[in-house]
Amino acid sequence: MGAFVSAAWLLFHTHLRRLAWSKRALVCALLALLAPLAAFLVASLGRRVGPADVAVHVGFLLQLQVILPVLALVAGSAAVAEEVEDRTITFLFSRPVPRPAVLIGRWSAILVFLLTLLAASTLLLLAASARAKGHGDAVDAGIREPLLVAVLLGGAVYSALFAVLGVFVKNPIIVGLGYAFAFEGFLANLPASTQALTIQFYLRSVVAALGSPAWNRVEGFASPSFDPLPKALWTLGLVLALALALGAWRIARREFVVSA
Amino acid sequence: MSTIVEATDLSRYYGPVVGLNDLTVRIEEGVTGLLGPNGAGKSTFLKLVAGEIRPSRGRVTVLGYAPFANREYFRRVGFCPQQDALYGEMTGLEFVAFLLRLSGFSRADANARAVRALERVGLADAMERRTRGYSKGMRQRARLAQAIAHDPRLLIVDEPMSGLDPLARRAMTQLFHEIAGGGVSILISSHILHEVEGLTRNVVLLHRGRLLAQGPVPEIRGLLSRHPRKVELRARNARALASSLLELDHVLSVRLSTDGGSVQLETRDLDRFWSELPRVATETRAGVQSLESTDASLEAVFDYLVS
Amino acid sequence: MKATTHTEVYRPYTGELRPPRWSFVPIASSGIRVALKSRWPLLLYLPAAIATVIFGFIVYAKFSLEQGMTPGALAGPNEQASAGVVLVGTMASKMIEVRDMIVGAIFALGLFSVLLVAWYGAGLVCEDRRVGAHLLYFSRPLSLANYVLGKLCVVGAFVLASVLVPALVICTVAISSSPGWTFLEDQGWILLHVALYSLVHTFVLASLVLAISTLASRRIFALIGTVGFFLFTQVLGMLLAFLQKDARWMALGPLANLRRVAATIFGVERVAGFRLNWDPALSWWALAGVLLAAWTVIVLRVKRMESLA
Repeated sequence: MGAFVSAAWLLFHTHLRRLAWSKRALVCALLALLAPLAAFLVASLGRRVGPADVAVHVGFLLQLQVILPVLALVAGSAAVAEEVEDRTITFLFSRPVPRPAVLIGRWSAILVFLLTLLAASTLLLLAASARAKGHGDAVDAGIREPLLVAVLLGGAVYSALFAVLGVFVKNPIIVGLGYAFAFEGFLANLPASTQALTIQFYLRSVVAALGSPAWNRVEGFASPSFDPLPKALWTLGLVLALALALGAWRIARREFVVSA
Repeated sequence: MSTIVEATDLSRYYGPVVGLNDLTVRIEEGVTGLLGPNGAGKSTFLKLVAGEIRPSRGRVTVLGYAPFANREYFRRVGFCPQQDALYGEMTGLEFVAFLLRLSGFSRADANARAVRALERVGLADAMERRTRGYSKGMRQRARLAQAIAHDPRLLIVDEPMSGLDPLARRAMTQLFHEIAGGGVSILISSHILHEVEGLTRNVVLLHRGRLLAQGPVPEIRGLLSRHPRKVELRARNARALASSLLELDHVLSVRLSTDGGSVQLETRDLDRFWSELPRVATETRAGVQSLESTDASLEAVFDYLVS
Repeated sequence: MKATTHTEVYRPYTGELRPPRWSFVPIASSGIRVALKSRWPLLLYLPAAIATVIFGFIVYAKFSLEQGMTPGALAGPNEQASAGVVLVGTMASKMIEVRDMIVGAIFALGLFSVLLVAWYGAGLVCEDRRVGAHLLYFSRPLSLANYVLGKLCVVGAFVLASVLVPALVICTVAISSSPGWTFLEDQGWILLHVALYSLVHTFVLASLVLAISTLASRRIFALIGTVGFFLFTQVLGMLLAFLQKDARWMALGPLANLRRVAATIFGVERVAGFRLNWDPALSWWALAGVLLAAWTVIVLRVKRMESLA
């Protein structure tokens, strides 16, 4: 256990330092700016819209449904797949470290980076929304807190899922995009109990449990069967833990150099 | 001498492609060259030995361990892979020290060892530079530094000379001699024969995933004495020389070149041929200008074995 | 000893070098061959295949019902299947036009088209630059236009297949199941519309992905950039359209514009689940603007690659 923790810790801070100055970080930062930019545009252009309306619409339709999975995919899939693609994984796997420490250490670094970026992006989005001059509610705690909590929780769960996806498949990006937008995008917006098969459903449950009625004004948000907050949190935690456990199991057994 | 690598009925398949086929081999400590043309199975064998992949069939033990994902084993080996990959945003020192820390060394110890290893491979001046800016030779040496920095008992090196200029090759050969002099066993692969000849006489010859021959080069050559050996001579009167050579009972075949200036022959007994050649050359007034046994080098041994 | 040269044995070439006119063909064909080597990505065509079967069946049901067949007879003896088929039959009797089915399939496949174009097109230029293949390309008598055209054909072939094949299959079902080839006689022009829209769809998507590929340093970033671009513009358009109560904002998204153009070309007024209440001319202009920007980027970036080579 000591070897696992020390290796994971070393990989965590080494990867965090590398990540901070990488091109991937730049791409992530640009993606993170899109939602605040959209909020700014919606708040500034044409007809006057109220701050709360801007925040909940951009927050749900763009930040939670699009930017969050894409960002988590770009950052999360790098945990193992990047080392495989760059063929540097040989150096890590020829050292006396428990293989799962590579996944956990690097994912932890990605998590810290991603959550920082998501928090900054969400706060900027809320700040941009607050600039809206139209009539309507202000951006209050009932909008701020659920959005921030859901985005951070979603960042953790999605990034773990996509990091683990990188352990299983060679091209996690396209599979991840398919999952996030074809599978989840389809099921989460179907008016049926199949919604419960998606991460989005539990994130919406969190928002619904913590949020103000302003959220119900967003088209496609409301559902008659949202889970209560404890169940939603428990489910998200379970998905996160199961994903990481599955990834740790797989990385300990998989050969990553398979060409002749 | 103790055995460091023992493979029994070892096979490795990549889908329908056979990387290694039913290989049984025992490698003793010291420097051993793994030879074979491209696609012979050298890299597959080294990946199996380095614990990167598992056998499809059979078993391999190295230093008494099953290598795949074996942490105890990884403490005792250093692996210098063939692929030109490094962490480009790290300096040479950071790169080696990071991997040493993963091996369990403290920060101070890792830094000290990394500096020593980088000095040893001749990267002392460049150790503070990012590896992204390294030349091919420097990158190769950085990879070697990470493989030797923790003082392994066995060093596994895949195609270390590939892409290096002659000076760098000589420096690398010298470095391997030094490492081996320190009691480290080295398993080194190459498809360029003279590189390995400069390092060791112990070779393992692979071809199409199978073992062709193993042992010291002279012994392999001895094995060849049962087979015809080739000699090429250039002479002013090659035609007369050819007809006289045909009369020797150990000469199996003689071929005159199309320009009539050289003779190629095959003999069953090379030593007798060398002793009888001066007499035949004098009698025929052949005017021998040059002679060459094309079997004299390891290349010829290898060429013979794979032909 | 004085050094000598032997230039006299060489005659300077006095002929005229003519770059082959169709040098994009080898680039296109080899690119398609390489892309086809990997089988798993062909799964991206699965949604198109499913949509083709569903919409094709509806078309078949429509013509069968028109010829007097009952929904029950359409289902056959299988009771479990019959409920679904009756439902489809009822739908078919309401969704009258074949063109509605084609447009429905095109609309349903919008996101998959983006995934497909991203997968097959994202690495085409940036990977050449990353591995230095452009040095090999441009050391030959290959013009910039041929290089770009070759790449456009690679991605275009895959995108075209995803839109043209489903539409043609639906048309074929309609032709073969309509009584006395009446579909071909009465609505044969739909085939021309299919061809026209397929070309527009392919050209827009392929141009955009190539432009993004010229800007990216790695395939993975181009892939993310492509999907991100389409999704972001689409959602932003929707947001602005909804909040500003002005459907014209939808024209921000190339995907929405393609849908609007599809509806216009096929003469469809309404598609369930989609808003189409803005002027199609705006969509044409928006697509033209996006294409102009994309080709400006492509030309500038590839010219830079060419000069560096």
